[in-house]
Amino acid sequence: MKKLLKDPLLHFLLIGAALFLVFGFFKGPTGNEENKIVITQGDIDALQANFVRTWQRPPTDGELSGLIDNRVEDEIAFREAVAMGLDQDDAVIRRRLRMKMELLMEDIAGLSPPSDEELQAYLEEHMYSFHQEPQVSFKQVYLNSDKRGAGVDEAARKMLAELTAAGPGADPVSFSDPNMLPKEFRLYYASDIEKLFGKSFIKDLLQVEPGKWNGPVWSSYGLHLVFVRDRIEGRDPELAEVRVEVEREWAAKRRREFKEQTYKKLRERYTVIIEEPLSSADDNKILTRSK
Amino acid sequence: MKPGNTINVFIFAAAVFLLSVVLAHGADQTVGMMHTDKAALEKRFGQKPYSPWAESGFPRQVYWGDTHLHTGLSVDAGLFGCRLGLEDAYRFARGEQVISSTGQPVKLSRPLDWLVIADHSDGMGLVNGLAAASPEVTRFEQGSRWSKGLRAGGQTAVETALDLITTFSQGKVDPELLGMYSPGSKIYASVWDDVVEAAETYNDPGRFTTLIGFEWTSLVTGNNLHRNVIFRDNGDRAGQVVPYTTQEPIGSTDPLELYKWMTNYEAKTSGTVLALAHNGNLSNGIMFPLDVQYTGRKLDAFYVEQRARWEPMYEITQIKGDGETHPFLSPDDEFANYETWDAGNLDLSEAKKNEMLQYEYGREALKNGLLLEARLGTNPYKFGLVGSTDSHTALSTAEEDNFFGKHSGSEPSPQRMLHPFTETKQGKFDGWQTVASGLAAVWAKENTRQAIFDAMARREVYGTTGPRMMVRFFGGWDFTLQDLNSRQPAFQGYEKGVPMGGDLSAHKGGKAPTFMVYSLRDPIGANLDRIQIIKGWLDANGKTHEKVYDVAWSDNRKPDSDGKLPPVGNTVDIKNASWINSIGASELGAVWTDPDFDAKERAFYYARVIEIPTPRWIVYDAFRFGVEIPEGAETIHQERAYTAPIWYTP
Repeated sequence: MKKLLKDPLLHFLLIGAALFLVFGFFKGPTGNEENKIVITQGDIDALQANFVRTWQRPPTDGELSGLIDNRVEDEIAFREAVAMGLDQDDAVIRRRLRMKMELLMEDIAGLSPPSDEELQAYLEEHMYSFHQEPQVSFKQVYLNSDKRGAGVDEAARKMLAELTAAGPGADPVSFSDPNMLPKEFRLYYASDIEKLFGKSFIKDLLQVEPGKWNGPVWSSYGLHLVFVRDRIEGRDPELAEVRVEVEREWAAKRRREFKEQTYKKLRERYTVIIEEPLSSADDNKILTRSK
Repeated sequence: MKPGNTINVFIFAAAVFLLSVVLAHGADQTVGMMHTDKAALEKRFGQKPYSPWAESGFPRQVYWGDTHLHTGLSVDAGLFGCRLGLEDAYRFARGEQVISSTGQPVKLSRPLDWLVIADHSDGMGLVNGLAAASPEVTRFEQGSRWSKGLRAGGQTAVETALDLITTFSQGKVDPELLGMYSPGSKIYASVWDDVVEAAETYNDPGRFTTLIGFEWTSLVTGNNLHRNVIFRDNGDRAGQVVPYTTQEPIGSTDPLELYKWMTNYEAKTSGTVLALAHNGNLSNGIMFPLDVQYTGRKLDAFYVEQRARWEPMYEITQIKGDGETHPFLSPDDEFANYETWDAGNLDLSEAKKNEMLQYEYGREALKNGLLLEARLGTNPYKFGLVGSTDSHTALSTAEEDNFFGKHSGSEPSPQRMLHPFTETKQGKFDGWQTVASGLAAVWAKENTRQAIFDAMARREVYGTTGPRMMVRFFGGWDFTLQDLNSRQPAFQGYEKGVPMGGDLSAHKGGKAPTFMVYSLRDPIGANLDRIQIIKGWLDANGKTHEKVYDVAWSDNRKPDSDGKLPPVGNTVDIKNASWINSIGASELGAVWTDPDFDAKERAFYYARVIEIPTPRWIVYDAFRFGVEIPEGAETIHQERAYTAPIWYTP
């Protein structure tokens, strides 16, 4: 019996029965009018629309009547559940409604397009996030410091002389120690080079003199001799070049602000009372309430 | 490993000790060393286009991504407190700092190259797109007033929105206008439209690719059959449909119905999609059936063809456990027990039994695939392997020192490792067991939706448990050490063989296949312990087998008389949550010939790259929060990469 009392299913049934008695008795769907379920043409259109978009064809008569049947049961379950108060304090339902509300706010926020002045102002204020990264075309020869040990510095010095003698046409592949990293790069963005070689490498690569062999430059794998063919310096762009990105960022900011403002305004309509905690011993309560 | 095989092993990186070995092996091994022969240099000049890649059509770069991220749009993510949406997810993945749902600033060490947001399709159905602008709306007084106010922006828009909300909630909207927003009307929109639109907005070909996708969340009495569906297409096609759900009567939990939906999508839109499953480990024996589906339907030619057609990949490692293999299935594999989740099914409504395991893990499925191919003519489990996160935080975090948990309730906090992830009478998944894993690596020709999708479709992919080691794996009939030591082994790899995910068919004379494998550690990660090749095969009696071969390792270790390689060592300092790269190699490679090859037997081979030991995420938690690690919790592990297999078919 004790075990039975602990059974969650039993609890559910008991609570359900109690709720049913309380709510069902007084305001449950009793009268004929309230018990009427009308599936409107609009409802049917919606069911069909969803089916069509899933399967790219209209439902057959059988499928449609299945959809409608299901919709009727949905409606019955919904009404009975609401009558029993099952919608109350349900985190999933609350979260879902909040999500729909916020999607709505986002939709609304998206309705007012920005003017050129607004975009220009946004770009200037947030130039750091639109800054065009440097791009580098370069070749690299890798020297494996693990394998070469103490002699690696000397080897690098010697090889630099050979590469310098060979000139800009020197094929890095025939000099480099074996390594999975590509040997030639054509206008790679600094951040992509960093992803492959690590931070210190790209920092140094941006400093070396173009048009000659340089090095050694260290990566997280070892030593490299590098020949920078071409470098496009980082720069601040004009609005026309980055308009799509600026609009995207501007709109994101607008949505955030709109949501905040709407919540603020809505809050003004409510009197919010936060009760003092009953007992200071109950940490959890304090935490929740002081929020 | 037999001593004779060591001859095939060439370790071309790391450990200072190695130099002596290299020299001892003689002339062959010097190929990789400095090359200053003038004549040889001159011979090379002027013969090739400036760019050696100019005339090569193969993928030269690996692109890192996640095929499986949830945002607050997923009902369960929202329930756990995820407040971040699509936009935050994309921003974070492309490298920006965002504020997590629990208010903590978070940023990736490095951006991802691509991302699939795969929110649950159930619950993405039609909702009222109330605000969609439409000229038809403005012929109503209210409509026109609202439309004008909302377009004005700023404070006017806020006031208008409130007016609109109030008017709606009081039922004072013009009934005719309201009718335009009723279900089934033209301006009715779905969450899916938002998903597609966000993907379009953030797709930046060449820099950061967003692939459109969703998760089909089939759960059969708590047993996980989930699939993620990924589109090759842009929004113009993907937006024509809504994702397939599991809800009857439109949806279903049967994968065959999902395949039907996919077939239909392609036929009707000329689009292209694929699916990949995950968490077979939580399916209690129904993910990779051998005889009958969970529905009772017997496996037949149709099932195996459909599965092979639509599922070219499997997500083998993620937050809810690693799915490569299980110690019960692979008792001879010393690395088999890695981040194992085997207490039961997804919701722990049923405990695990050993006999379920053979239908749950990737390696066993690869083996059973050979059997099914022999039986039914098609291998349904011929997939590439990837890792992904399955985070429900909108944050794709797979790094141990930057792990933001499975859901918003398990974002960094002093207690998170103590809270059970799931606990029922059947068992428990502890909080500390959640895995900071994984990533999907794709060898693609460029960073675009089409190129990444195509690489997935041809299975030229591999998965890691979080680190970004580069791995190449080729199979052919005559790879030699010279190919590996040539300065561009990938050229030889593609020219003389097939890459990971490819096929080998019988070679005349019953010659054994050769494999070239090499790996470079994560530029900011741990060194490599070893590379292994795992072979699975089907014998003449219809029995499957597996064997793990060590093919390259660091630190000049010598296998013992049983062929077992000694452990690489351990530098982890748990108290200070650190390790050092004083052991292991930054680069390893080998050319390996199958010593036990039988030309009559179907087989597959894949490579597993193992890192040196590093701390698990809970060690960083303990260090940063100053808390104790619970007893029995795993603190140290060896992260890894799994390549897509190469199949041999007689």
